[in-house]
Amino acid sequence: MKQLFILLFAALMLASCEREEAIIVDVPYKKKLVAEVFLGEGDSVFTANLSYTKPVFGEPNTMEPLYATNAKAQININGNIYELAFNDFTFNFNAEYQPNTIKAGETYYFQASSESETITGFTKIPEKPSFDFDIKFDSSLTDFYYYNAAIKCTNKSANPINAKFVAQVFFNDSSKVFLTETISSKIPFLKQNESITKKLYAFKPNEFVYPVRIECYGVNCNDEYAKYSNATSIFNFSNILPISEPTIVYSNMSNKIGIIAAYSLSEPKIFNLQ
Amino acid sequence: MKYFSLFIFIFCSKLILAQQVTIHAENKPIGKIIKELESNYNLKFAYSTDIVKVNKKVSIHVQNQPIEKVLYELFKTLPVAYKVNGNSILLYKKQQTNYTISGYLREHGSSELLIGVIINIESANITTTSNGYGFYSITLPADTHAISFSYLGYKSQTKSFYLNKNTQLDLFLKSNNELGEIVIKSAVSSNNKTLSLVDIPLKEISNVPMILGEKDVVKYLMQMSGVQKGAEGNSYMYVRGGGPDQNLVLMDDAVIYNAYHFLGLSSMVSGNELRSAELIKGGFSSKYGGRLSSVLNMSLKDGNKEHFGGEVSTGIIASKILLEGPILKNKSSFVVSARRSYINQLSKLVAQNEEEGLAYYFYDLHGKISVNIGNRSKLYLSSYLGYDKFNFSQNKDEVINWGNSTFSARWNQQFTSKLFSNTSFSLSNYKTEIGFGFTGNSMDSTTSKLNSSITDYHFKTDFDYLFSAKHQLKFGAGYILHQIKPYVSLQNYKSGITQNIGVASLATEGFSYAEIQNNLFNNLKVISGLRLSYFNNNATYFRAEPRVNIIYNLKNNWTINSSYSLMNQYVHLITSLNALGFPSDIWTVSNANLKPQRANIISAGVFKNRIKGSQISVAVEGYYKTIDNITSLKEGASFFQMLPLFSTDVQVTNANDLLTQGSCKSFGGEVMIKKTGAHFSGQISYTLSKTTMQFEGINRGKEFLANYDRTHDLGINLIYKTKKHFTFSANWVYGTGYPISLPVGEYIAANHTPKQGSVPGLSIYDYEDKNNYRMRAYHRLDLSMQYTHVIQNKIVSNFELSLYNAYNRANPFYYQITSDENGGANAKRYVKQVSLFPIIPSLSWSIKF
Repeated sequence: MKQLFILLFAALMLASCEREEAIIVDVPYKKKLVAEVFLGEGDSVFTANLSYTKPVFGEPNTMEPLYATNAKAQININGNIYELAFNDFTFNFNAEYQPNTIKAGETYYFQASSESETITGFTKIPEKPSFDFDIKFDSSLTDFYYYNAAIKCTNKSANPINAKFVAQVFFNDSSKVFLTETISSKIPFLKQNESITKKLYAFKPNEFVYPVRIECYGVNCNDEYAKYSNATSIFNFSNILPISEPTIVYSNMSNKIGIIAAYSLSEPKIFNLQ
Repeated sequence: MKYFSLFIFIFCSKLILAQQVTIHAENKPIGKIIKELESNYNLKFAYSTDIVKVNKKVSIHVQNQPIEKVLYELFKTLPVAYKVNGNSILLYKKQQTNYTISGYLREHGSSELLIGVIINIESANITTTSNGYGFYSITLPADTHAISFSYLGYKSQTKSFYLNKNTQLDLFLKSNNELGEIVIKSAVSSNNKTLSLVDIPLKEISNVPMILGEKDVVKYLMQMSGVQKGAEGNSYMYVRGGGPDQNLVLMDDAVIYNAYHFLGLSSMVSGNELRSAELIKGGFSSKYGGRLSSVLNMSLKDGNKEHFGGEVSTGIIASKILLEGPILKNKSSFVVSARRSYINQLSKLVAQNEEEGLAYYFYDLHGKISVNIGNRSKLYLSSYLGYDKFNFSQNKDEVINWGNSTFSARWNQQFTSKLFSNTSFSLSNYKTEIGFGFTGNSMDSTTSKLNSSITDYHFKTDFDYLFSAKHQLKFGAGYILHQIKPYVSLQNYKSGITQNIGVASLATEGFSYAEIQNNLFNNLKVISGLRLSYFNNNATYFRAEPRVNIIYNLKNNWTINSSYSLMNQYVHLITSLNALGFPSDIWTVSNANLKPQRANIISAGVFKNRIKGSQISVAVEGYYKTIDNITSLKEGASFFQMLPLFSTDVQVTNANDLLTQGSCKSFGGEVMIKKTGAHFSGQISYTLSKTTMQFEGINRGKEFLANYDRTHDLGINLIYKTKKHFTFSANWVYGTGYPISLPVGEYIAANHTPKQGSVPGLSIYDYEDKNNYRMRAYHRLDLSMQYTHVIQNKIVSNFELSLYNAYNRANPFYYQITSDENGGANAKRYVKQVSLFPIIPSLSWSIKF
């Protein structure tokens, strides 16, 4: 009786493995123009990434954008229109704004068009932030390849902000690298005098150099920047789990895909490590 | 002179009254008896034939008695009074006095109380039922009455008697099993004349084939129209377009928050430990509140008060034992049942080594003690403990555990023949624990655990006052204390320090209600009520909930019904994964930011019993439901964000930061065709429905199909019983595939860093609309064969061989976009369907003694 039971259960266990099969889905591909525009306070160049959406099913998963080289793009500020041109070196669209620079408080309007559609969007440049920094730079070889830093940042701005952080490490051979947050981290909303500690990391350029200086910047991201950045990081995470809710990434463009957003950098804080 | 006349009159009256009368009559029309008295004793009767039914046959045997005695004997059982005036006797209508007959209805052999027994008094055109505690009460005029008691699966009884005082009548009904009969009547209670209220025939559950042979009340409910027929690996119940948190599941008045085991293998009750179960989908009594879509009200058996007995069953994945018996014979009893799965142990036997195998098990424990205190008072103590444990990796900290525990103490009191009460105190606890460990080199080694628990302390009292057979008042009040504890626990391996993040909350809820049931014009029943509730958790909400339910019995076994209910719900279930009933879902309560959910529900239907004298009944019903303040996670949000493992530096410590509220709309129509019979029985249930939702911040604020929306939902269940031992059954279910979101395109988004610029970093899907596609339809055939035989007239043995998913349909569990692993960088993407349960045979055996 026991053997019969085990035999039956074994049949059950073998039979109960997950089964997978390919499904043919009838989801029509819709080609759309996608614009990603990030405007930085103090910059003198407008830059926009323009591409088309690609089909998903029946296509390989490459990270190669389908650049919209034939699209037209412009930025309108105070009635002045700046046409962006495709740069086939950087694969994005640029226009010089000199002698002007992008200013806090101003609203910039964007428009792009392809053969089949025209898209629009706008964004307002946030105020320049003020931060206090305290850094713990860990150059010990935690795993031989990384430099790690823990930076405590305190918002000293007059208003709450969506805060991001950038740090650049300079080495004794004059090389430098950017320390960055993990791709999945979200942009916190900091009230006045509120602090947060961020962990940043970077690859070592080589095993023989040592760091001599770190420059830290705080970034005030406007709401569109924060929403888009957070949504893409959530999308990146939730996409890993096959049974999680799919995320519709935030967009402020008229065709509900892409983004125009802005940010302002604080004055740099320099830490000499020697 | 006048005084002399008066003297003569009085003297003659006295003479007449004093004269000795002899009369003998057996079953003789009363008119003839009166004429005989008139002729033999010089009497003159004056009466109306409307009051004195001259053809009514009576018997009287009186020898040499005064006429007054004769008149008393003649009319004592009739609504006739008399007045003597000389030799004239005036007969007139007796002033009616009403009396109440009441009592408890029990099962013969066990003394289990029987709920919903149909009580019919044809002479008064009254039909009523025993209440949720087996108690009935009817007020009738003093007269001779024949009262019949009938209950599905039991032999009916009829009692005739003359009612001339308040009477306590307790009855024991014999079950058909005891009688050795297979008599399945189409005993349709007033409850089953509407699809909104379903009395669950517990004895039929064993005849329906279920996965792995595990009998289950919730899975049986999925045979009903309006209840979704199930999905692959989904353990939640969806009733009339309502979400999984909108079902109030009660076990002896204690609330059960999650009554399901993993992947829908089983729920917490198989059925044989229950005395009764009913599912209410609409036309809610004012007695019930706190949930929007359904009430599953279950009562544990009291235990056999006369002798010991039990049941043992064993199957492929679990075994169960139930024991019951008297503590003091006919006064107190106990029942205990225990079930434990052994998937983990058995899977190791077929695995390659000790570490492999499925590290999952569950158990259920039920217990109850019932005590009769005198004839009018009863005390019940019942408890439940259930637990699921799943270790999903070699790391013992990586677990998913969840469990319910409940305790309830109930006191039933019959104050008078018309007033009955039930007072209860209950405690319910539900908790989940999800643990993740990470020991990577570049981050601290930590174990993160997401813990969540909700505990209710619940006190309530309910009264039934039966004015008469036609008018009944129910009223009551209650108080609930909710204790919520969602928190993240972080344990660092290096330092050994445990940090808890989260805020526990204490919320209070109170309610009172009154409801009146009127049976008007003999055919029309109107139940109207009002429930008042309040809730407090840093914000106070007061709510009024009107309820109306109308049932009209037409000729030829037709019934039409309609109802309106306004319901409020203060607890919310936050589902973090795609409507699969994953135990990571967390309960929370309303607060200043999270408003209570509210539903307006309308339903109307028609029922026809015994079509053309057959045993076939048909019910059709439609419903429309709107819900405000339904709660959901914000787009892309997940409670895993509370784990720093996944959200790096940014932790969301306030669950409300992850939540948003919106609205839901659901409407549909249900059809149920049922055939009963001694050998062949079955039913077809079909639901056509649509459920949509709308939230600001989800799907760009546009309306979308609910994750569990199912356009067509069909179930066919057939049972054939041979004369002796065998029962064959087949069950086929069909459901439209669940909606999912598939992308219409993708683009490569920039990973932008200030001062560094953008580099292509992420592939982002363009979903355009949420739930813009449907998975394949779900359908499945289950078959079973049972062999039952009785050993020595006492022990019933039952073998069952069943086949789940008999034609091996690959039903979708989830879809995933993937590419061929061997295809390299140019591998094309496609949609992969993952299915869970193939054809599964199972064998189970049980004995009942």
